[in-house]
Amino acid sequence: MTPGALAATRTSSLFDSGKVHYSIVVKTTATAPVADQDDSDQLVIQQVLAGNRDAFRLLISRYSDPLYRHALCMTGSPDVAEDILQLSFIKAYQHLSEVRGRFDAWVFRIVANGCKDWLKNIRRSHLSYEEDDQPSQYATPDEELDRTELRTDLDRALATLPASLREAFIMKHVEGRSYEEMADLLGTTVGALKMRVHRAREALQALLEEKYA
Amino acid sequence: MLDDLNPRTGLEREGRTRPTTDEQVRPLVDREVPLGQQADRPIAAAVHAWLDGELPEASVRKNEGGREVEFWRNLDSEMMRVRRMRTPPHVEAQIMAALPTHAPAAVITPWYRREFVITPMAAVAVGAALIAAASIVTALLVR
Repeated sequence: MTPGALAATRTSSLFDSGKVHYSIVVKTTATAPVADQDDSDQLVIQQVLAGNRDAFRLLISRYSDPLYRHALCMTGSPDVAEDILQLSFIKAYQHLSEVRGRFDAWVFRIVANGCKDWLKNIRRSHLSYEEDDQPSQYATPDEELDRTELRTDLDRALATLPASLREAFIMKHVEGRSYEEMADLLGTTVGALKMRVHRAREALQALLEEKYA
Repeated sequence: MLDDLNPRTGLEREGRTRPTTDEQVRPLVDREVPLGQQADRPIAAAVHAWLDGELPEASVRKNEGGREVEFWRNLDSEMMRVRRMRTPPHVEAQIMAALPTHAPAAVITPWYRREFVITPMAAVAVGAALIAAASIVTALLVR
């Protein structure tokens, strides 16, 4: 199994076949069941702990894409998302012996906390969100061309949401996670998460409806 | 009379009380988004249910949710682009280069498996505690 295959992500629309499939969990693996993947992760972790530093590359390949997307949507800045991803994987490497349970859930929490810390810090330092949201110097031309007006407006609207609502909306609508998985990852209840997602939808619709409905 | 140069004084002209010190210190950006604007026209429960995968689209369209369905479809097409985004290729190499050269710290062993280092003071303290415990037990038994 190649890292590329392992890193493949689900990209089909949430509205396939006339009915939404929000219960689908966006896994970072193409076909492997969760249990197999978890076993595979544990093997890699053992190799890394035994001194095979290069084996860690496999974990990065497997999980960097969904984590990068999460950080990008939370912060709105490709540069910041890269920094958070890098710091999170370094932290994960340093504390790899402390992994209990699924590695992907554990590393997701590190990234999610990194995003929330960044948002707290940037608000404390009174920086304007727009000022920090300059296009990345690494953004590819294709990515820049793909950036539509709606995307820009969506990013701005997301930036006005409190971190908890933004996080819930992104996990639900961008990452396509089920409420159960979200509750598991965030350590909260399904009811609370539904409320957050509903509030986020209403806020976004209020902000964007006039222009795009 | 002193002039108040604080621009927020304008609030008083509107018949509102001045903010407390805490409110003044707290930056505006720290506050959560005002949700008043959403209260004007909340999303119908059926639309939420459809977005949560609990209702088919057709039933939502029937119940005057067509406009909202179009809006969310429009938004979903944009989110689909985000879903396709990949980590920039250089990031993996950057992370690998930034990792510490040594292996991660060993597994934290539980306390009962850790080796004990007994200092003379600790030995004396343990001995004293044992003697005290033994004398208490003896006294109880003698009674």
